[in-house]
Amino acid sequence: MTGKAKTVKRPAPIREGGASRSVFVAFNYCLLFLMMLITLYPLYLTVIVSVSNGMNVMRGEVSVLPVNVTLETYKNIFKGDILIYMRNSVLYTVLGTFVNIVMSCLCAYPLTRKSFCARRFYTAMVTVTLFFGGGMVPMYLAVRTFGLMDSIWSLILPGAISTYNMIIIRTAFASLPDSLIESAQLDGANDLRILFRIVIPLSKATLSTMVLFYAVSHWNSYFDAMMYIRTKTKYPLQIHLRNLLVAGIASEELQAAGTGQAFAVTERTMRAATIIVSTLPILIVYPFVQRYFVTGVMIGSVKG
Amino acid sequence: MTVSGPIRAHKDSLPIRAIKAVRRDRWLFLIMLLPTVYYAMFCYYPMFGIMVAFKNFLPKEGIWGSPWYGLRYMRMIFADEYFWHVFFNTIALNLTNLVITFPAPIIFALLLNEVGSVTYKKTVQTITYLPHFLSVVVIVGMINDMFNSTGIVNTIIKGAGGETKAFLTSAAWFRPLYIGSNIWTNVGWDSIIYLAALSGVDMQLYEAARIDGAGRWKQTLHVTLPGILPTIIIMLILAMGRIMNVSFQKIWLMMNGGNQQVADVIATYVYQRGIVKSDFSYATGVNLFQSLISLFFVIITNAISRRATETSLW
Amino acid sequence: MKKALALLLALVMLLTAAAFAENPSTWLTDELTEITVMRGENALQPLKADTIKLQTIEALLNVKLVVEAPPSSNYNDIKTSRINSNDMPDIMLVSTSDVRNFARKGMFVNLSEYRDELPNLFALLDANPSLSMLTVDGDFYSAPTLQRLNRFVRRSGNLFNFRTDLLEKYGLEAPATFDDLYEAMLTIKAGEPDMVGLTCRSGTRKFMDRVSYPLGSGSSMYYDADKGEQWYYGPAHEEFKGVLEYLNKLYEADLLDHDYATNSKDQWAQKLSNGTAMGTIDNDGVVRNYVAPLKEIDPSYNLEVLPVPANSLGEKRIELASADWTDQHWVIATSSDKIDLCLKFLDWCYSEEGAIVNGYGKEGVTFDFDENGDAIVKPELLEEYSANPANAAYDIQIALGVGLNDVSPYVDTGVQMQMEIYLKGDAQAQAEYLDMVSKIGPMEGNREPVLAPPLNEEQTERYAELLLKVENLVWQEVDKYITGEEPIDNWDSVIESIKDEAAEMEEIYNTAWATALGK
Repeated sequence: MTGKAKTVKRPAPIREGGASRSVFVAFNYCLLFLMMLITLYPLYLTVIVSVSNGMNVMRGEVSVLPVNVTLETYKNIFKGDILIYMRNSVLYTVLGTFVNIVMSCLCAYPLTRKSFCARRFYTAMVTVTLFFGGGMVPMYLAVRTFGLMDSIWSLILPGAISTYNMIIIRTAFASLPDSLIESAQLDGANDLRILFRIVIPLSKATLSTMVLFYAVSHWNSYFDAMMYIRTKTKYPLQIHLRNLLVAGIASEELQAAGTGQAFAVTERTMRAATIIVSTLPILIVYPFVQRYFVTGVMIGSVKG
Repeated sequence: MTVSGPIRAHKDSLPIRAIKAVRRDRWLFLIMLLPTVYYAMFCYYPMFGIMVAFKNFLPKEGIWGSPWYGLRYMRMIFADEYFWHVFFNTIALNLTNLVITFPAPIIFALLLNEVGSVTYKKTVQTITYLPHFLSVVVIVGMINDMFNSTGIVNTIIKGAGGETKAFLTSAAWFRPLYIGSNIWTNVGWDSIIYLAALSGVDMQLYEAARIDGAGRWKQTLHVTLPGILPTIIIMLILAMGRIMNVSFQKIWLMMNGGNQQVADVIATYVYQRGIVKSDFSYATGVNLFQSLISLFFVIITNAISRRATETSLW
Repeated sequence: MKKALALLLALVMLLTAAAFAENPSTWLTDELTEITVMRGENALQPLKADTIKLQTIEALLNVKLVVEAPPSSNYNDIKTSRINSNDMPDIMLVSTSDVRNFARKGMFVNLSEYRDELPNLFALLDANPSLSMLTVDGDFYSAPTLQRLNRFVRRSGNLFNFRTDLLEKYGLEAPATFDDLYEAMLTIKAGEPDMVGLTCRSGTRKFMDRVSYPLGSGSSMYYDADKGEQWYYGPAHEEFKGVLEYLNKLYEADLLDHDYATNSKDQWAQKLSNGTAMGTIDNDGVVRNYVAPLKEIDPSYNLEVLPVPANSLGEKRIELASADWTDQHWVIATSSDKIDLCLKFLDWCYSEEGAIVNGYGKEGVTFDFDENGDAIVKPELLEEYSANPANAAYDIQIALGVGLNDVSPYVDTGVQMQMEIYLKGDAQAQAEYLDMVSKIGPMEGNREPVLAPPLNEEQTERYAELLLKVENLVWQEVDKYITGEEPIDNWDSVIESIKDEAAEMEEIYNTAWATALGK
């Protein structure tokens, strides 16, 4: 964040209100600090569990500091084809989010135009899908009918628009002053141009949030890939992680369980490491999204 | 928009008016083309699957070819006393959940908005959204660790001279635990959308309010809240649309004989039924019923909000 | 003339040779054919595409197995979607309830109709009459996963695991009855006040599933060989009161983990591995995982399987897990265009040769037969794959493509056991291990599990309805009686409220049982 960005007119709480204000500010800082703490500890615990020896974790000895630090758990995760899976996941997330955002914007914009003659029809068309869906088997049949089986598009097209997110985008679009669009129309701009040149740039805060929401859901999703992808080299990372996770649970049903061998990796350390591995990329990307709404890119700065 | 439009429209016959409207809105139709294709292919085409609720589904015959069964499954669902019990549990759990968890991220976002230090604000925000990524198993595991007979909560109660409580197996404590942990998991993440909305509030309005002598509290009340109200309303209506959805896995993991009376919801009941006898048509029927209920809730909320705030879903 | 004869002879020879070269007698088909098989993939044992086993099968049968292996974590969803979409592979792995649901809808080939073409399979099925419980309306639509017995077979089950070092420390005998167990635990508790006694995991229901039978009843519908060889709905009978009474006695004396109703697997593991729990009734194979961490604290600590104590009715009984995998069935899709070949292949899997190839790979390359005729894995392979002891038993199976988690309808677990034994190190430790596991199966009181009878469609419907109703009544009450919130005599009112339904359920089961046994 540059110094300049900070000076954009987000007025820091200007001293006003005197004593009661200071009490509130102090209270607020403490409260948020407390919230941070109760969130931080479980996360911290997850980190230390993931790098501790599984046996010590199992005995309940890991609560403040890691014990017998080992990277075995991570080694277990990072073996095999993990790089291919990661590459796939990045590809699906980037491409999928791009399609999501474009499609959602395309869908949201006409629904905000009060003069649009088919607005009610389209609004109804979209809203119905919030409540009614076919379910797993009909969706499978649809994907197969459209010939998307085992293709990357089976992970991107069926969820191209999340109606929930689209409605949030629509709300953001609708909050822009009508005068902006009308003046653009008077200048002879068509709707496509208005959408991409005026409406989208002015809705950056909401759109960046939607990029985050869509990206996270792509990054975390595994179910579609399990259903529609048959070639292993096309698997996303989450399938691999999830499968590793449940392996411990599944194996107890088999007669093939314990031999009394010493081990450093357990289901629990595995679970912790999986969380770290899948959350880290989001943690890295987040600040880039955050800047759009924390420092406040102002709508007010565009004065028409 | 052409000023003469409405006047001329009055003279034209209906088909001509329609053609003119389509011509006028051709760009909007063009923009809507791809989304329409999407909805047709991946929402409406599979939606025919709902028919299964009224059919005896035979995989060989497919959705269309399977013989009709009429309302047999619907009757089966409605005649079942226990179904109604879990139905009301679902509604009660979700309504309580909504009333308590819905305002939390808004309040949190407002508090965060009052923080002057950008670094502090960003740190708090980044940390608080992280629990969203913990898996349900981990979260329930933590609830278990904290609230069992030797957990930290009971240890504190004991230390203070109180009597230990069986939080985990008590029907009275199920909802507080479920809802409390929901807030913990999602308050940070859910506040993101409001923070985005907050950054969109026009600064000039604050200045105007300040000139009028409004303090921070008044500014929040008269500028900030109205500024993000459309977002709040839309989020509320959308939340209503999910009134029948529950986190199946979480409830399944938290449920036991002690709290089953309040914890058993439609999802867990259908699942239990499925163990004994899995039935695609029955499950589809239950889903359809749930959809209708949420639709009902949304229509009501939408109507109220349209009157009160002029913001609505349609 | 001679020339012509020679030519003819040469021609005949050539033809025969060609016929032999092209079509060895072991081939199931003249043309190399692909069979698609789907099963869930266990993450600990990812399935490789070109293993020595698959090569051996291809050379031997002229069949190329194409294995589709979606992750086992969501195999259920994928499987039901594919069946419901009528988009099935030639052969797939399904559960008993899938067989019952979809066989009637005509999705799976009726194997009983092809009895003559499946001699190996039906020889095994006929040898074990209890497998007739897996039929649907009298016919086999599936081939259950069976175990090929060898001298390494290890049994396990929800057995009685206890801290034997504590018994020694306090000079106690292994408890002969559950009352002895109570007394023994009281003595131990007096010396070790922080210990929690018996612990368990995954909630009351799972706990009761494990302890009700040894204590003289059953937690749901169960077969009682001691009480008239019939099916009973346990909670509706007097004996169940005895179970609750005993558990309440333990609870009151603080000898039953007070978190018994809510322990997660992690918490249960923690109590066993850090020495807070005295014992548990659970899968001995899983419990054995906690011995190593326990011994790390103090080498004298030990957690062992003991013979189950006798209950108040004087019965010693606890249920072993089945030697077969009766919930894993191989079915052939009726939509397949090569049903005949699939039948031949499936039957080959149940032959001795098939079991050996599926269990060990290729003779001379991955294993040899010893003088007893047992297949023994090449020692250099054991050595090669033992690098990571925690997963070694799987690593060697991954490499060879063999064992339970691969396409093995007739499973020989030899490779896995031989690796486990190899990992024990020196000869003495190996012998001890082999001795220990071989004792578990025949231990006093260990009973073979009994498969539930197959219900017809009408019975299924009615039974499901009744079961849901009574289960809801029963499981909201059980905890109150264990914790003593309700006096034990009030259980009579619970029995009263479910009596009729329970009787009807028992009748359905016993009728179906008799029908399946052909009585």
